[in-house]
Amino acid sequence: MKKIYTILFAAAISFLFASCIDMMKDVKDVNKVEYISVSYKVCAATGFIPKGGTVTPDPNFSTEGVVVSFTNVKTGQIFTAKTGSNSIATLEIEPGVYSISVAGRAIHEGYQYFINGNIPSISVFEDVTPQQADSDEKYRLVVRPAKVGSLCISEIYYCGVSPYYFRDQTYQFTNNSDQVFYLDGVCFAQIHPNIATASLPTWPDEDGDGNFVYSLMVWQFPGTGTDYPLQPGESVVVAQEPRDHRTNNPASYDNSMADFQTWTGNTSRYNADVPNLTNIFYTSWNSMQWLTSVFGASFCIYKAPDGITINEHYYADPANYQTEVNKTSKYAKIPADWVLDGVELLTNMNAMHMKRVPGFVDAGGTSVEATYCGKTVSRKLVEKRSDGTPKYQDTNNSTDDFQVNSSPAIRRNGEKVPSWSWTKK
Amino acid sequence: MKNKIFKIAVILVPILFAGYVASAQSGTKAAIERAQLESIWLNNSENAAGGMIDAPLLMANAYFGFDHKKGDFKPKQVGEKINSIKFHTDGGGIYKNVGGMFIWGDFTYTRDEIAGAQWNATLADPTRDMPFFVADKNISKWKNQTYDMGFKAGFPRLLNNHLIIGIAGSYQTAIAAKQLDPRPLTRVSNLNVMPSVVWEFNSNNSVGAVFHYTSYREDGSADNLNHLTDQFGWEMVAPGFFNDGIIASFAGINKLRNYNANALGGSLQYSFKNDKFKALISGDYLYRVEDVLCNYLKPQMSGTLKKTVWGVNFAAQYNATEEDRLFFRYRYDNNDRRGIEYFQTYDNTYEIQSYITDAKFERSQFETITQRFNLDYIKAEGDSYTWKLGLNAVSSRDKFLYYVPATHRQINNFFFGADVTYNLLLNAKNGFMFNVNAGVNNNSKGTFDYGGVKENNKAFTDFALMDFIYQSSDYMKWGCNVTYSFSGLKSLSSLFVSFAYENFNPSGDNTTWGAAIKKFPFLNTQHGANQEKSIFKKRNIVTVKVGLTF
Repeated sequence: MKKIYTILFAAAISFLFASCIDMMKDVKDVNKVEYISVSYKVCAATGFIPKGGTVTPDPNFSTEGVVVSFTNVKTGQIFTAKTGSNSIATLEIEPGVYSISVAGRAIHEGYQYFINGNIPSISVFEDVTPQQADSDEKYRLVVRPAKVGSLCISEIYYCGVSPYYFRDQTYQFTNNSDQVFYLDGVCFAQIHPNIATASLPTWPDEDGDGNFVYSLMVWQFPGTGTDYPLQPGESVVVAQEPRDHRTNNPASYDNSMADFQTWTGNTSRYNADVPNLTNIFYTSWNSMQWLTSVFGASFCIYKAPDGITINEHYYADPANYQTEVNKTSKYAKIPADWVLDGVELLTNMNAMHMKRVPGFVDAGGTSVEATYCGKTVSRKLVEKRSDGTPKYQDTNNSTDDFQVNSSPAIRRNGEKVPSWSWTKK
Repeated sequence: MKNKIFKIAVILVPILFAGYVASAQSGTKAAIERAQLESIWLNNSENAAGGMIDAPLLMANAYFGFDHKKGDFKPKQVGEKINSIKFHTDGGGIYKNVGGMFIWGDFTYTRDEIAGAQWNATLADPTRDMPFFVADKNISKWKNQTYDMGFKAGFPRLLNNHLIIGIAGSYQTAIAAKQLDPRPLTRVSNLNVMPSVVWEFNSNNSVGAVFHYTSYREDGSADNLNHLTDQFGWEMVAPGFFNDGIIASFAGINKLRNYNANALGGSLQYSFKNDKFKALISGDYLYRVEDVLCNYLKPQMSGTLKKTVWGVNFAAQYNATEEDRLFFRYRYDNNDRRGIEYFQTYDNTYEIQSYITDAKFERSQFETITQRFNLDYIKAEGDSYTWKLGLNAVSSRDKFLYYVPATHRQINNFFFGADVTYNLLLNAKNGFMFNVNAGVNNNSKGTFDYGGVKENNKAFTDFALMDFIYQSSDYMKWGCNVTYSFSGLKSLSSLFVSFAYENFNPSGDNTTWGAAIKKFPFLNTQHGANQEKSIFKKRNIVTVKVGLTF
């Protein structure tokens, strides 16, 4: 018996010392951190980008002068540099995990394009020389040029208010251009996944890389072409449930003047005065309400080119939806070229590595950084037109373009109500 | 479990003392204090075998104490008001009936009721030099309980009375419960084992060696009871460097901190003694590695603290006459801590499903160099003393570097203090011991060049910066202590009641908002109107003890 105790005691002591020595060995030769010099090449790619295949940069799109930003995921520190004539940006950064965003504009064939893109999470621990950036595809930041659109998402109130009140979610879209824009047939989509995640969905190879955005819910504005004009500086408001929510929760607000509602069939959550948006696609239906994540979902607005009609029949065609690899749920497949604007709403600004929206839709992300806090994100005001309507900042990077407000507001900067709105009748 | 520990200790410790009560001499508080001063090995090293050379008389004491601390002149993480109750007992000496062995033991139970603590949602003891923890800014209460126990044993001499083998050990277990969300229930276990040897060349010269092993565990998770309100928190990695977000929320910051530390070290001693003089010089070294994890099952690292501590100690006692005795002590400590941060990614493949370390770097350095000097004179009488005069000084240099982005903080302080104790025996049974003490701290350097990007964040302005200002403040300190002893109890040496008061008062130009704004202009927006106002008021400590000496 004594022998067993001795053996057990000796074994316990040996185990203790072995783990102790292992711990000490693990940290014996850890290097001191130092700044590193990294170079990345920004390339613009048009057309279909094959999955994992070689991307052929379009030589016609100049990427000189594009701003490349490295945001340290851990510290939030941002390092920026502009690309030179060789399209290479060189930065001195600390080793770490970064989200990289690319932001700039280019004129191509008479149209203005955003040269925006992002990589949500990349680990950078060693120097990368300009020569490596020029020759090695690993150090290329491939962006898809996107036409500068007229319609932008100008405010989103998504986080709800304490305690657990979320029926006041509201979305606002503004014509930020100087020409009339027709809302007819415009689609408002919630991008998959609902909640930001570091493990993004895997799509079939046939879709390539960054050629589509995938949506789990698509709403469509009514109209046949010119029924719903939006004049410069006018905005349209869409609400989950338009009503004066202060009767339910004094900390909430009144969005009963919303122009449209996203009604899913719950008769007790219905405002008969407000027209409905048409649902043309859903992955799973919630007949209680259309609730998007209070942590922050992501959205885009898009319009099909002339000649293509989008409706529920369009999305019944297997060619127009997609499933994740080895999964069965269906998601609407939205070609990248159709997207007018998009916004990534993050759980907090440290979660940039969990970004879902491709960089050509939104190179950054924005967040109120808490749930049920009653805050809202809205686009920054650049100037006002002579009629008092706002012009918003739109660089296709919501990190820069959006601000956080302490409470939601309908048409906070003097946007006008469209002439066709039910509230004017 | 805790109650069991308490009961066992309460039963065992008096048994330990029971054997020698009759042989103890006067055993008053002053006598115990003097015996400690004269035990040069026990008082200046971890060498338990050295107890055989000191050969202290059998003595012991046990007391119940109450501490009340109040005031804002303290680190931010420490409570503004702390009420503590304590039961402590320790004692031992040479036991003739076990072959002249030296045995010593101690047990302490402390219960702290803490109010007004901030910036800590993890650590049971936030002042323990650990930069990796979860912090929150809620002004919180804590309820902490600590059980400390230890022993020292020196075995009878071997090899022609030259070799002494000894062993010392200590075990601490603690539980700390924050009373406001985010509220961790933190548990601590701290085991130290220190086997030792002494080689006695002759009655004058001895050398000794100690091997030191520590196993430390601490574990706490900052949970919410009220799920309706999100709690914002900070994952601290160094002063001014952190990741912030909603605690325990999806994609927020991780609420769990699991500390696992091991330390190996040792020390060497040489001592000389003759009739009038004895001295001990020792050098010690300890290397400690503490991993901080955020996940029990998958090794997600918050960081690692690599700590190297070395020190040199010189202590001497000179007996000018039988009554006039001088004690000198000098200690140099170098405490170097390196913060290692990890970059990990989660590998979701079926076979792995764990965090993989992509890279790790040493990112911060904390270095504290401390020099302590003590000079005490006692006028001995019997086994006690009538007068004790003491001078003490502490010089400290505290340096913090964060390599990238470059940040440098340095705090140099010099404290000088003096104390006088008079032991007044009214008659054979009744006596008073009066002590007054005072000291002044002078800060000769206080710089904090912050290179980070979060200088407007509360965790910098309200925590890192305020702690820096506290640590680099000039202050004055005074205190007094009155102890009444009654020696008329049967078979006990004495019963004592003591009352102590200490006051810490910030003073000097560097403790006003004006001085702080001069160094950190961004504070002007918040505190510009208070230029002449002192940032801190004071801190008072009142201690009452009722106990017995054996």
